[in-house]
Amino acid sequence: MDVVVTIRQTGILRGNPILTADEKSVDITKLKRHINEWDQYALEEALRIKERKEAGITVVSVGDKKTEDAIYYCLAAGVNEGILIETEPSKYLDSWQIASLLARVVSERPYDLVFSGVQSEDEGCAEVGAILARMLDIPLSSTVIGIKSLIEGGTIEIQNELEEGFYHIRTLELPALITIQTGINQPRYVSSLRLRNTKKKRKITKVSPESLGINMMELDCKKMPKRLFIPEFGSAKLELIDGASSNEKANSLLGRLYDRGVL
Amino acid sequence: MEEEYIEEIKQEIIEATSKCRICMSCYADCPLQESTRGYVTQGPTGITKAIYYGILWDTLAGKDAEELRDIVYACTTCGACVARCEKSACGIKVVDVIEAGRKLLVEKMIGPLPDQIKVLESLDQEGNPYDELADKRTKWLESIDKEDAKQVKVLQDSDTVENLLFVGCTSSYDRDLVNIPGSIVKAFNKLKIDYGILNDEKCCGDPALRLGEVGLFEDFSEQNTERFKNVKAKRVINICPHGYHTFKNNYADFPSDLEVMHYTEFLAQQIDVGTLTIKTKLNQKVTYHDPCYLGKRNNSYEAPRKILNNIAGDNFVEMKRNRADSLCCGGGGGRMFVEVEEVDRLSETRVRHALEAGAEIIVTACPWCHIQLSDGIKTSGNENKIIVKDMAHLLADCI
Repeated sequence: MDVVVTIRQTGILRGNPILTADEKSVDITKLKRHINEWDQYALEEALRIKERKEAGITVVSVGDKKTEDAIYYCLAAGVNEGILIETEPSKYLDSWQIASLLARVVSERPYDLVFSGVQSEDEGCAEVGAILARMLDIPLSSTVIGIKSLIEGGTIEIQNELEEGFYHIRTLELPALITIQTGINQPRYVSSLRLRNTKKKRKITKVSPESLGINMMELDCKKMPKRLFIPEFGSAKLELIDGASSNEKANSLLGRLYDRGVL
Repeated sequence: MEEEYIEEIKQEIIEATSKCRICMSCYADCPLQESTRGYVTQGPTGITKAIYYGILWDTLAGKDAEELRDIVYACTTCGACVARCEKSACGIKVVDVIEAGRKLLVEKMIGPLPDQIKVLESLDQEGNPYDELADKRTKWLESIDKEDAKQVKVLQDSDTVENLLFVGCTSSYDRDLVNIPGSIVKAFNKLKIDYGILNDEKCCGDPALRLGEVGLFEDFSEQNTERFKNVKAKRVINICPHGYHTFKNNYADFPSDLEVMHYTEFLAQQIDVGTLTIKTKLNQKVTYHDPCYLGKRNNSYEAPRKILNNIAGDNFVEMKRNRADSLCCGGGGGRMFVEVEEVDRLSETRVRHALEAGAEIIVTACPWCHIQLSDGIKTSGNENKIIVKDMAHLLADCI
């Protein structure tokens, strides 16, 4: 069984973040980084499958050179292969662009399952997994909190989270993509010694968008942020938006956001 | 290399544990026996034998491994078992075996306990176990007496000093405990000694080592050793007994000419030579709780008592269990960061011991013991009967 895990390396935000010069994103080159929390659970879920069944795991990530650290961590944890699609440092990529790059790598290899974290800590869009499933043309189930059964070459039965403690049980035909929710498992800890040894012994496969036949200039960014800014502390005022209906309140909020140039 | 290292740890454990005659002498001295009535761990012998059979029967995976992890990480590493084995049995360094077991579990990706993972990540990223910002470490100086704070030399890269005060993570960041470094600084200022603190102090590495994360501990050990060499101090004076123990016993390349002292040892010495005089005597009944990493692990029992005898005189009363027989507060060995299931909380039992001795104040000299005992007072409903004070705090009021 072949399992692909897509991961993202995110900056650890403490205090006010530093923005990129174009004010489109947080400059993560100035931050300490780790593997996006949701992806840590996705990785652990894949590792647990490997421990129960004959399985090979490939981790794929889009990011700058420093993203290697996240991939080495995955290799040290027990992943078989790590692929980095190397992009420019701090360049803003939206979910569509990231999914397009991931899809190109994933579609060119055998896979039965693709795991992604539900969302990333920084953008919080919860889109990449869904877009990737569409691009790969495979079934998707999101916000998965449990895997009930997995039959190689057959199906996967999962629980996905609904509100107020309810959940669905669904059966998906393989290959399928599922997005993993935090709390599904307890991610393991990879020691410094293990990580050091892995960096000495193992190699990461690095590819560029160009080598995948993708011209980044032509790859549409469908959701470019207009401008990021850090709110000034102390200047904020609380205003309760009143209205007779939800519609009226929403319109009132929209008007205020337009007035302030946010939208 | 990884496999060789794991094999070495296994051999170390098997060799040491094979000597155990299962006489169970250590069982009666173990605080886990006191707090859990022996359930799950069966005391030090139970823990070491669990590791031994875990290796022998190759059960270092799955559910069995998780159960083994919970047993191995229950230990407070207080050292009571080591003293008992030395005295009554075959002298096995039981805590070393348990710590080796933790190293093995970490390398096999079984340990530490889930709540302790965040601690290791914080140590790696910020140099402290509390997820506090590294650059806020000296912020405690803003919370103490302004005149005292002004006299603290904050050492930059090339600065040197005679006495290096190592504040430690808990005293630096815990807002309720800033009076500990504040009081020590007050005493040092009165003594007019040449002292300073590091501008970039990091954890001593104790939590990493006790949890079995050797690689991370080695990073702290190398960085701190290098920094100490640059400062060219005669002695490093520790607020926390865990730093004191770790520098003294666990650093591979610690400068041989750098003396390691706990602040109680340094201040007791100053009382001895007459440079520190007690002006006000304490009128309340006080007792002293021996921190394990000062007492049982390093036999430093008399310096704190010298200070207490000077400031409290006849008002200093001993608990029934004191010195080497002292009961652990339950905070060592990485347990500060997790909720451990106990039938009787060690901290509450220790508060009861203090009340039985007739004390109104429990004095201790370890920030973690301070936190544990304060919690023990609250959870046992004794807030109106007794309080906890650090030795430094008590002393600063009397000089």
